Amino acid sequence: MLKFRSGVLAAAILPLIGAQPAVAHHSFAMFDLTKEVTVQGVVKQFTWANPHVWIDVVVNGDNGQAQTWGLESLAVGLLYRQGWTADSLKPGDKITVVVHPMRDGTFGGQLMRVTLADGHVLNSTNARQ
Amino acid sequence: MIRHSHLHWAAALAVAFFAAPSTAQNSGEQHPSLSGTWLQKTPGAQTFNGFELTPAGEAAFERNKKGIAASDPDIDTALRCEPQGVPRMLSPGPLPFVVMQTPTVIGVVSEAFAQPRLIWFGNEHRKGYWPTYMGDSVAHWDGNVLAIDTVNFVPTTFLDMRGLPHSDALHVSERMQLLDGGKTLQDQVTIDDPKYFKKPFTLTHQYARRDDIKIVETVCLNTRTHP
Repeated sequence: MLKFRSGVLAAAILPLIGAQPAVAHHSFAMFDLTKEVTVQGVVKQFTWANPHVWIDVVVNGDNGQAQTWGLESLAVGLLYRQGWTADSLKPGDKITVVVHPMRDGTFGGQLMRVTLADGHVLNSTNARQ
Repeated sequence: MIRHSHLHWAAALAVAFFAAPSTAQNSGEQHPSLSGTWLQKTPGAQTFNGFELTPAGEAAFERNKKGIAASDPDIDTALRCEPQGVPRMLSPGPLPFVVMQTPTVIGVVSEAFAQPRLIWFGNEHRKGYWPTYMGDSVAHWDGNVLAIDTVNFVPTTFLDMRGLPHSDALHVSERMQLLDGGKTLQDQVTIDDPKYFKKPFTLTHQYARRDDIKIVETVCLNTRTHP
């Protein structure tokens, strides 16, 4: 079970509406697709690469301990057509992310969307454009 | 190794596409052009249904399902960026692909894994060719339908994302045609593999014309996986 710590703003547990990943590079079985968790943190690394884009985010956990969340997104083409570019994020950016968390409680998940410090939202969905 | 094979494919595709088709076997005949950018219509990745596995096929399917659940790249070889191959690449979900048709060859470049496929006009499979991810595709026009015949596959690819297996006896027959005045591309895919399946079975894909999309380069490097 995922332990919700102070760095986790809100744990919205939502029923999922048919959001099976259409291009499963792996099974995605490690993600709990029935849960959405919102996490705030600072970008450590933004990897714009295939098969999937990755974001590492440092989150302040309880007792001040930093947690590095590894967030897996989608193929670059899918993100590009949702408004992302290779420069969308850079280390040090403060962001809020919504993810399907890891089932085993390790820090990470499947990225659903990112809200930048200026309020701009970048989606990470498999929906056809 | 993987990257080299991508380059070779890309080079072959470029040579095929830009070579002057002076010996076009279909010259003088009018055929539909399947060229364009296409996006799969049916939501989600389609999986095959209505198949009857042989005992050998059942064992292979169980092995594949376990390998997928364990994210084992020796079973699910796409995990280490090996091409998904035919027919799995025919169900790319939300990732579009480009078809470029010349009188001698049809090239397909998919944004999923940047998989290039070549479908050669003609009736004979090449001799001495080795098993490949895309197999050896030959095609002819049956009226307005492009009939594609593909054999000679590596046995490690999956038929679909669920891990449905095939043997080295796999034979894929496709009937590809335009519908809706060219707005839809349909591909009826029939799988025949007597080692793993008791009888042939069919799945039909439809793709919407999306010439407004420019696909992006998608080299699969598998930079990382979850721990």
